[in-house]
Amino acid sequence: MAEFIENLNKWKVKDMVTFVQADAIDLKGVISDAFADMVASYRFLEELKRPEDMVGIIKEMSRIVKKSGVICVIELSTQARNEAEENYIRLHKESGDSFFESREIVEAMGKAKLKDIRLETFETNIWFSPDLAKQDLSCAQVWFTPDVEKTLGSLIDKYGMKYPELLIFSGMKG
Amino acid sequence: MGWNITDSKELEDAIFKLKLRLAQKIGVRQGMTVVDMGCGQKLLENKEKYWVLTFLPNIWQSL
Repeated sequence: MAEFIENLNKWKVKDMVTFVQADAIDLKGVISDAFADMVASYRFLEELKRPEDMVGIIKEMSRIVKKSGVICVIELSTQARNEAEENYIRLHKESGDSFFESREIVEAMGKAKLKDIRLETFETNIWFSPDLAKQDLSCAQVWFTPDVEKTLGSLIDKYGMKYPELLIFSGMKG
Repeated sequence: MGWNITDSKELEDAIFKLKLRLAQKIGVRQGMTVVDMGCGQKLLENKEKYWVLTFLPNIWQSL
């Protein structure tokens, strides 16, 4: 948390930003109903330690957004289009990340009674060279461990890695 | 193979710009109240539970 707050000072935004630590499946008492114009998440669902919480988390996102407000869930596409994307996706899948099918996220948004549910793709155009891909890169959520070297090392040497396209799931609170 | 990113600083900048483009794409505008739910990557390593980050993103206007 200290590092997060230090970054607020660095970017001179500490008056605009508040960090809250809480369980995302139950924010009652932390964030009131209809608090926000938008609730967004970026590669959050893939980190869930309890994937079964996903539906409840999206319902909670819906609770805290205002009427006519928007929820946006941004996740990695796991449909590799080339070997470099395959390397990036395998690195995350094999480390135990929770990747959901698109329809599961769309269904969860439906259960949260969101309207006008859409799914769009977003190109990243970020190709890592092999030397870079073998470093620990927290900003890109890449950790190159001995296990990764064993399973993917030669493929990364050959193809590098590419940040796959992103999927943007959005829905409006009716 | 056309790798366009070869060092970590370039990568950090590229990810920063990617997130900025995403914020613009999804409709984040000055004055909106936005809740950004995240896992608190550093804290996750310490087996903390989920985190929620809240921000008022006037920041996007000034970047």
